[in-house]
Amino acid sequence: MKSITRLTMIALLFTATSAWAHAFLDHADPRVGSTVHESPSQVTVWMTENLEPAFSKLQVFNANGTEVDRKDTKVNGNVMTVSLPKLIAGKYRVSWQVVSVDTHRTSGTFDFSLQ
Amino acid sequence: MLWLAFARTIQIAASVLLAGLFAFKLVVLAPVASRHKRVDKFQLRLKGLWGRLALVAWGAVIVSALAWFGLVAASISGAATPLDIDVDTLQTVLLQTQFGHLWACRLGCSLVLGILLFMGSHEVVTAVFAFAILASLAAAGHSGAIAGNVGPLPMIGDIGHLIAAALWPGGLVPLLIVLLQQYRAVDQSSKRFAADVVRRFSAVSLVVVGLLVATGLLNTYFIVGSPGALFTTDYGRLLLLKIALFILMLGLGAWNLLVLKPRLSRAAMVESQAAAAATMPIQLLIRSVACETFLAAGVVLVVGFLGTTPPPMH
Repeated sequence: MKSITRLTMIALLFTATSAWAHAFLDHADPRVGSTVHESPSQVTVWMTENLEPAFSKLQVFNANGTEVDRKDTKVNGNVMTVSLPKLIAGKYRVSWQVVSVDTHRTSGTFDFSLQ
Repeated sequence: MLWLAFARTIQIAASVLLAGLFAFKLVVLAPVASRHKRVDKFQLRLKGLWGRLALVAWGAVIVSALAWFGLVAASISGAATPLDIDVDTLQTVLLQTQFGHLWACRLGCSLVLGILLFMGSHEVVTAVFAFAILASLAAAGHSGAIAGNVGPLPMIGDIGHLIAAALWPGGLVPLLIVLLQQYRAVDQSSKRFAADVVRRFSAVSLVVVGLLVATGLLNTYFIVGSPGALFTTDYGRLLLLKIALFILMLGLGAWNLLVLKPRLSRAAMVESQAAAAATMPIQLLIRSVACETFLAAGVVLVVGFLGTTPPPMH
């Protein structure tokens, strides 16, 4: 009986892990690497984990490296948004730095272009 | 990151042990004691050991919780060490993050639990607090952070898994104590009592396994992803290490069941002339359960490091 218990425990514990995950980019609007034809009013990113608003930030930089967003990052669950002024044509880099609610820091960037 | 993994390991291990002590006592020990219908020196010794071990586990929960908070705050804020964090950051982590809220609640519960342990009464209430502290670890884990419309299933799975783990492997330490006391005991009634405890622990384990399987599969669905990820990611390789440790535990468990436990039961039934020979299976079983406990500690250590490694699903 105990051996059955052990065997089953193994089957379980091979697969079961109380893991702490990390938030990564799931998708974004404007889409990663996309070219848009109208100036977006905001950038929105959807992350794979829920985020801590106090430690999460979304920024948009122009080709010169100047921050062009309104510095008003809003976080709701796993969705993070920052609003934008009217942008001129060019290449933009979105930078996200987040802490998931399980306390892990992750960051990343992606580009989009405005024609 | 290394210290954070260690702090988590101690927090998980101490929480499992604390709840495991009460689970073992209420689910395994108490029913056997009621059948024996007497409180002898053997049971009184067990009670004393229980109390001391519970206090040690409680102390480990408190100390590792403080370390965990400092290390998490440092990790979140980008500080090199907890000593480099300013008060504002600590305040923000405590008051404005899910981890901070959970940590404060867990610390509060731990302090109440400490008072109850020192009082030594209200056993069921104390057990409830011990299990609440253990189960609340789920909210600090993956299930507490998972995004999307998956509902409460990941959290339920994690809580169920943690509670089940309190009996196994959490129950191994109390079982080891019972076996050690049995080894020292000279009278047959104590030996029979301990043999009954071992028998009931095995029976209870079967029920626990069902819960562990169900919750484990649930966790797997949400976290692990494809079998191939076991070999191609750091997380997967850590999981393989965990698997290797459990294969060793399986071997010990099978040996306990098929060879040692029947001999132990027979030894408990014979009278004093066979006492010398009867100590042999107890000694072997003690060593085997001690090895199992050691391996279980290794598994918890791996879990601590898994917690700082991105799962394959991400």
